[in-house]
Amino acid sequence: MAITVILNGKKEDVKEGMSVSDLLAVKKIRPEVVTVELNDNILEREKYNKIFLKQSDRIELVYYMGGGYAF
Amino acid sequence: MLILGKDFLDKIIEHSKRALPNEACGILAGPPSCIGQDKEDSVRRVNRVYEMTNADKSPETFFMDAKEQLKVVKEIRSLGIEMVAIYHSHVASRAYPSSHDVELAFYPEASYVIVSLKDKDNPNVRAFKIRDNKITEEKMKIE
Repeated sequence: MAITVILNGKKEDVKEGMSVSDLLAVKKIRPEVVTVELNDNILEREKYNKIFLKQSDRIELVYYMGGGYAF
Repeated sequence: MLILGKDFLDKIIEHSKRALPNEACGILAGPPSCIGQDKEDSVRRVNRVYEMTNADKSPETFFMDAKEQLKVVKEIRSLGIEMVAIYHSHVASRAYPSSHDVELAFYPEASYVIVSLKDKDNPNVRAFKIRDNKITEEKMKIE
């Protein structure tokens, strides 16, 4: 069964019982390079596999933006 | 090609100078391209500049504050425009992506604009696409 969430502003159907980790895996996104916000709260990466998506959840995924001259 | 108004160019240079001795960073936004989107010949016009906080506060690296980044991404979406480019400054080196820039280039559709302040009286600004670790310089039109 599917539920509908709002992912980066667009409705998307995902599998019921899917965790944030599962969502990132489906989207082929490495957890260590993205910030995840769920219903206006930034999630700690350690909790991605413990948080399960619910109907109408609002999720924002933004890749890190960084760089610089470095070394 | 990236089309940037002279006022926006001046703004990112001024921001880069103001952030010294640290690197500055920001986001450029504009309408979706109608020509060759996501291809080498895409034409993107900037109509908004977002100065962002460099959470690293470093002369050698930048990292955008996540909360601020989310706020700006949502605002851009609500305006019906898109993120066109990510800019940052190199305070003492040339306007060319470093290996660290390439490592953290996760937006292949965006331009990466670099402001070099190596010669502070004559800043050099160049734009690049970074896709699959490959750097390609992009034409910039200032108007």
